[in-house]
Amino acid sequence: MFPHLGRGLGLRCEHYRHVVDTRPNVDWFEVISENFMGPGGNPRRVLEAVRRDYPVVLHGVSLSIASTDALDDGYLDALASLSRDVEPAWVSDHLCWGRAHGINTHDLLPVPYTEEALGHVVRRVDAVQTRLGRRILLENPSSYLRFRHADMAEPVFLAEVARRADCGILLDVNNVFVTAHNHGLDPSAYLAVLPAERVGQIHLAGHTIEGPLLIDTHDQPVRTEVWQLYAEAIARFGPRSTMIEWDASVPAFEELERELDRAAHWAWVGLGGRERRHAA
Amino acid sequence: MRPEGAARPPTLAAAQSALLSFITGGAPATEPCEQLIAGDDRASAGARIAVYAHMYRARLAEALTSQFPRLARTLGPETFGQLAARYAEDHPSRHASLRFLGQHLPGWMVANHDGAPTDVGLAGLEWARADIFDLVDEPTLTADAVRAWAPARFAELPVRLIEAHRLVTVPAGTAARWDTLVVEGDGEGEASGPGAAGTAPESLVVWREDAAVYHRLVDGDELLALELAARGTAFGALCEGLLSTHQEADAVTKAYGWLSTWLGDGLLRAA
Repeated sequence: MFPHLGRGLGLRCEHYRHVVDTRPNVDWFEVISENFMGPGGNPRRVLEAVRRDYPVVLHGVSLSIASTDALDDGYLDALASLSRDVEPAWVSDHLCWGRAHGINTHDLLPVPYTEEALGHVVRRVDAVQTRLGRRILLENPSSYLRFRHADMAEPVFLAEVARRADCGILLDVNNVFVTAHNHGLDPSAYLAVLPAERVGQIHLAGHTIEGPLLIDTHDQPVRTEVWQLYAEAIARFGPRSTMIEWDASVPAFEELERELDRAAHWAWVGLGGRERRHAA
Repeated sequence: MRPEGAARPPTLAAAQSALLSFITGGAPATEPCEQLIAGDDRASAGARIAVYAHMYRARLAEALTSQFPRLARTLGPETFGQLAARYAEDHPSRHASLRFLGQHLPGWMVANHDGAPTDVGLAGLEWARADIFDLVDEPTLTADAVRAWAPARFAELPVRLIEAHRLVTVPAGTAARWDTLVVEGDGEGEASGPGAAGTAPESLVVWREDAAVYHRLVDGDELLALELAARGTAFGALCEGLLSTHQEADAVTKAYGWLSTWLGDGLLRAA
């Protein structure tokens, strides 16, 4: 359903020059769609240069697919235009909402997992896919709360959206771990519900422990427990395009490359290799 | 089936409205939170909502800090954070991109900030700089192209500023204040030029050349000429605009000087 691109990184402004000048040994890059929707300037120049040498994936944070506000036509126009220009391997966003009454929180807010919400999201995914002329992927968000009236588990909801709307799943393994911890759930059981054929990409990132809750901060290395869950996901779903997200306290590019080496190791573990100490 | 007498579950729209108000509206009352959100031994409903409320405020403050780095440096993180929170209450983000978050801050500060006038000036100058970083790239007019223009038709030479520019007028001392503040990510430093004497507001032209954003002070005559060029004019019209206050020879000399400067700056769109 989605091509296997190998190991990728999120393209962040701290590394623009390094990537353009040195063309590092990375299979592909994911970019935040909203950061490249302006018509010119340095962001678009960098994106064009990177696209000449690498496959690129567009990853959005503002589609607000579950919002009860109308879909943002201006945003969709900009996304469609960017998609035509970049010709990404795919386009993704999150199973969440961030806008209501015209106000953007710029956050990935959780959905009440109900039949009403399911129908609503499916209709909107269908509309977006028609508008973009391509199948999209939706990512499971990290969450810190759940609605009392929810009558479905998140992975059941996500799997059903993917099936009914014929879209893909961007599986964020760190988000599964964070969400499962915060709500006292079993992350392995979460993975077991997802349809393998719909999982097109995997995200990995670091999180922070804040008292009783885990917060998805993207500001540190992937934790060992998340690597183990990643190996489990690879064992269950097979090799998948995998990328590292690191958005705050962004380290030197070499540190990200070491994280990709670790990803290769844990994918190898997931595919049946025996765990060994990774040479960083 | 829902037990008789049990409260009807909220619609998706109602649930989103309630959570939005909890997150953006400060500390919500406990009971409505617990009616909507499930708490447990790990964290109460209120504590869980507080995670999102904190992230909302932090994200907006972070975005505004990146758009107004020198203002943030001047005010300090606590005062700037409070200012950002009050601003976000009056001007919540209504665009899908945070890139537009700060567009109303300079005007809002005029009525809502008690600090130094140059604080408002910094906001105006920094927004102008932030607002052009991703505008369209255009080919610029070159000195060679101007030299190739037929001398007999020089008055018809089109003079039009690139889209990636802004003209701003700010309180006296703003440009000098900008120069004294160094923030992370600055290059080798960039002087705005000599500041205006006295307390009269000062005007600046802000523009982008490739990836770099520049600004410099301009006097009243040049500001009027730049406003004309922003709309699109011809070299002859620039000269005519000076004739009410200058002798013809002086006017032409001054207009040639601007043309030379603007070409060097990369301010003019290719004809």
